Amino acid sequence: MPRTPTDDDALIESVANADLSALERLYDSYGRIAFSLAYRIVGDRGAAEDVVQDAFLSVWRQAKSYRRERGSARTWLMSIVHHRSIDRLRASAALTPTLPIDDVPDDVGEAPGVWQQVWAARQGETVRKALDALPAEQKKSIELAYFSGYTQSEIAALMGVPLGTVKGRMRIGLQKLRALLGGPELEVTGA
Amino acid sequence: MSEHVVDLCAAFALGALEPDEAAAVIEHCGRCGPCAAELAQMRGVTNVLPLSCAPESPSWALKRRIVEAARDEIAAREIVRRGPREAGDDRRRLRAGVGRVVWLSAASAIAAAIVVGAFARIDHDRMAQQLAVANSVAASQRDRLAEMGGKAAHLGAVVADITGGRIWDKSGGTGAHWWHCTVVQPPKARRAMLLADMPAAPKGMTFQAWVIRGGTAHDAGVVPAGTSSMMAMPMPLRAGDVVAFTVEPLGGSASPTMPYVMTQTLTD
Repeated sequence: MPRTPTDDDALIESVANADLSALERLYDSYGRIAFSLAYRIVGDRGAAEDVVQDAFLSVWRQAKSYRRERGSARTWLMSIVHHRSIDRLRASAALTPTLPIDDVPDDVGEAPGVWQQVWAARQGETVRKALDALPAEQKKSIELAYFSGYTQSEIAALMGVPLGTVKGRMRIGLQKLRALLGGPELEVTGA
Repeated sequence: MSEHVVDLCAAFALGALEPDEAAAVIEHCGRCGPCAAELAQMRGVTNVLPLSCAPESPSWALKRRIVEAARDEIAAREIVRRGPREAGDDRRRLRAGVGRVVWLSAASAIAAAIVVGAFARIDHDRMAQQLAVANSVAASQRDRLAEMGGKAAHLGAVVADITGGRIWDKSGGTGAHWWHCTVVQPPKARRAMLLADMPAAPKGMTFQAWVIRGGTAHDAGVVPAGTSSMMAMPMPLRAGDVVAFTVEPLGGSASPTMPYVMTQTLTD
C-alpha cells in the first residue's frame, strides 16, 4: 500500500532543496534517537557523534534520491545510521566470533524517559518489552546481529549452534516481534 | 539464485548476511513476490529496533557541527559551479592540470575557506574570479563567526594556515567515462575532503569511495554519479593512503564488492 506524504516527507523535500533550517528540524526530530542507536552499537560517544554527523550529511547530500514509497524518512535515516555504525564497529575491531556469550551486553533495561515526546518514550518501552518477551536465544540472536554487527555464520559459531538454528531463531524472533508490535502507532508494516 | 530465500530474509533485515548473500537476496526478491513480501515484513520489524535503545543525548555541539558542515558544502558547491564549470570546454583541461582547490573543513569551529590556486594554463582573470569567490566565502564565514562570539581571530588563524594543506589531484578516463578527483588534507589533522567529478554509473548502482590504508578499505561514503560533489573523508589522510572507487548498489556497501575502477595513491 503506498504511503501517504507526511510532514517528514516535506522536510526531506526541503532538505533536498538545500534548506538548512529543514536539516535543523530533521535533527531536532531524530538526532537523539539516531545518536542513541549509534551509541548503542559503537559504544563510544565521540564515534557515535561522528556516525550521526555522517548520516545527516548523507541525507543532506542524497535527499533528492529519497523515495517515500520505499519507507519513511525516519526509517531511511535510521537505516543509514545503522549501516554506518556497523561499518564503524567492524572497522575499529575486526569481528571474530571469540566473544564469550556471557559477555554480550544484555538489553539496556528501563529507559530514563528523556525522549522529546511522550509517545516516543512509549514506543521505546513497548519495543523493549517486546524484545524481553522473546525467548533468550532468539533475543540474543537478533541483538548480536543488529546491534553488534555479527553475521549469521559468526553468531552460529559464537553460540555453538548450527547455522540453520540461527536462521530459525532470527526469523521466528522477528515474527514474534511483529505480532507483539503490531499496533499502528509503531509503524510495523510491510513497507 | 533460483531457490527461494525466505530463510535468509530475517538475517538480511538484521544486516547479518555476507555481501554476496545479501546481493543474492536482493536479486531474488526483485522477481519473487512471496520472498519480497517476507523481506518487507522482516524489515518492517527491524525498522523499529532503534526505538529499543536507551535514550542518550549527544553533545550540544553536534547539531551545530552538522549544520556548519552542510553550510560549507553549499559554499563549496557554489565554488564548483562558478569555477571550472564556467570554463566550458576548458573545464577538463583545467581539472586535469595542476588545479588546486583547498578546502578547510571546520571540525573545531566554523570556518571553511577555499583557495583555488595556481594553474599554469589558466589565465589570471579566471583565477582572480575564483579567488574572489573563495574570499567571499571566507568573509561570510568570518562575519558569522564575529556574530557568534568574536571567534574571528580563530578563523584568521585558520585561514593563515591554509597553505599548510596537502593536495592530491588526479583525473582519468575519456569521453563519458572521464573522472576527476581532488583530495585535500587540511592542516592540523582535520579530516580530508574529497572533490570528485564522476561519470554516470550503471542503473541501480552508484560509486563508493574508499580509503585504503594498510591493506584495509575504509568506507568513505557514496559518491553521486554523473556530477560534481564534495564530501568529508572518514579520517585525516597521509602519503601512502589510496583513495579508490568502486561501483556498488545504491546506498553503498559495507566493504568493496566490486573491483576498484579508479584509484589515487597519495604520494609524498
